[in-house]
Amino acid sequence: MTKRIIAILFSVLLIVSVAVIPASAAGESVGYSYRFDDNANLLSDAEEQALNNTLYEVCAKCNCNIVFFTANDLYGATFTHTGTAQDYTQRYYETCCGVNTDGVVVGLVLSDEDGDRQVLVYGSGKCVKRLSDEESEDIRTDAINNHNPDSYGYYEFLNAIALGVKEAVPPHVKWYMLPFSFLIGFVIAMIILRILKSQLKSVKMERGAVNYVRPGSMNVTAARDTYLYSTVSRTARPKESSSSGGSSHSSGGGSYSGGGSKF
Amino acid sequence: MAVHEYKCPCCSGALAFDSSVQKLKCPFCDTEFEVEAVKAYDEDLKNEGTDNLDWDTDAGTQWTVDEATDLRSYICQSCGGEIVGDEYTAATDCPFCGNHAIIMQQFSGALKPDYVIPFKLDKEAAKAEYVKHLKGKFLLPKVFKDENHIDEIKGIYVPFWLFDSNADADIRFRATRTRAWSDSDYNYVETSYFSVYRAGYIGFDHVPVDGSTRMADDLMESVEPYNFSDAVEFQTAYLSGYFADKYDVSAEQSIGRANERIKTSTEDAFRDTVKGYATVTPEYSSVRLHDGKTKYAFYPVWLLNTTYKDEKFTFAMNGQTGKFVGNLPTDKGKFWKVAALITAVAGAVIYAGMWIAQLM
Repeated sequence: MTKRIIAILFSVLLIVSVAVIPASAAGESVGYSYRFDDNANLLSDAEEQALNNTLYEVCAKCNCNIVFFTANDLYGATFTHTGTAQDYTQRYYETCCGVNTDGVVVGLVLSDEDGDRQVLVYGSGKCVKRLSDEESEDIRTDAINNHNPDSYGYYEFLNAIALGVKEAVPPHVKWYMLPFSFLIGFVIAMIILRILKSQLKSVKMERGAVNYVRPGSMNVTAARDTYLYSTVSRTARPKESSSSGGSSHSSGGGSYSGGGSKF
Repeated sequence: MAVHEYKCPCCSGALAFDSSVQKLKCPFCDTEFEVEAVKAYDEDLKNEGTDNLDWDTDAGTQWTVDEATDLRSYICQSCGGEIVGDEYTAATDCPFCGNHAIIMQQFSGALKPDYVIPFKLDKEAAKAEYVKHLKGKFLLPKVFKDENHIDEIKGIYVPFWLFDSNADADIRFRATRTRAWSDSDYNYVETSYFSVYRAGYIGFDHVPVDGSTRMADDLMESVEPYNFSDAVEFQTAYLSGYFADKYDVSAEQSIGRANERIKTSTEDAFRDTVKGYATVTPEYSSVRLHDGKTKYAFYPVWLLNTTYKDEKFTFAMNGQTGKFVGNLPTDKGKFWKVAALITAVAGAVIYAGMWIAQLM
């Protein structure tokens, strides 16, 4: 029995290794590409080259497509869109890489549908799960607060976003999920063992005397069901929001996670 | 005190009740007799005069007051050996010759049972049910299962008080119904509250309550139910070959348990008439018993004892229906090994699943 259990435990470790090690080692971008389209001409050639180098590393680390672009406004696109910065960014990605392909798109629009400057970070395909809405917001917030282009320039701003993507998007499971997984496993074990243990207990007091009711002896002589009062409780329905964590949403094409921030 | 046993008209051996043929059978010459025939024959023998084998001897020391209160000694009518029992022993075996002895004094006057359900199943059936009881129990220690030894098997007529009663009931429940709907902004749940009243009556027959403190109440209730249609008027002949105790819990002392069971089942029965609600909670209950009668009966139970790691385990089988019960020990080592195994496998699968979800 002990040997069998040790063998099974080794098998479990093997399963975890098989699942985790390749995911951790995923560093090659087989079949994936990266691109930076500076349509708004915000970066110098040297900055553009430096950012491309960063995107190359991001693409390899994240094992997905990486698309960065800048745009002065939402006009003059070669693709159709609904006129919002969100839809513009998502259609831009689909034009470059296709619908629902694995990738991250970062758009910097200087004048969106409201005339505001906006940065948008979306995940597509398997990156919908890897880049949650919260993580997208964290990347945008960090860049806006700590690498604001008005103070540090657009290269610094976009590079900070690229590094944020490089940190967040590779396959990852938060560290505390490991003990949490085994805690759930322990709860499952206790439920199963409780069922198995109940097989060993067959002695208990009878609850009543249902086996000794005289057949046909029961008679209901009075029955009244009286309505008293009612209460109504109300709970708000969950709304689909671009800032809600972990959800995927679509505005016509594929599904995306993430969102945009005006600044 | 006098001990009675039924003698074989053919060879004078001690007769025993054979549950398989529902007759008295001589274990020596295998002749079978109807219970009524043996009873009549026994009356004839009584008219010839009975042996008086009481001895008056000064040997031995005096029993203490407590011992004298609890112990009873009887003389075996087959071999003259002394059978020591207690004040509740009603039927037993002679430790010297093995003959079955029935202590007639325990059934005299008001102490005589009204009914007896004769054994329908024999010792072999009890052994077979015990083996079946051990099967399919994953956490049962392997040693317990493999050794499979039984220290003792006894067929015992257990004294029960049977309660017949009619019950009038007035019961009020608080019940709720729920209705749910939604609009674009909210989910709504409407809960309607009702007062539900039921009144009526119900009857109970032969609700048994264990009349012996020597039998665990939960063990005796676990082998229920008994089918009273097999009960016959009590005759001591049915006790031959089995053990029996007279009651040491009076009918008055058993009333509380009978009331508890009857009240619970009455409330349950009227609760079952309340339909169409999401929840039903009893608020008020009044159960009034009348026409209550009590009977005294002997019910057949096979008791099996075994010992594992110095702990005694007792099993019981309903001698009429064959229902077998008894708690079994847990293999604690196996319990924690399996717990560790399931925790490891389930935890790993869940964690791997999280990674796979990231990769997919």
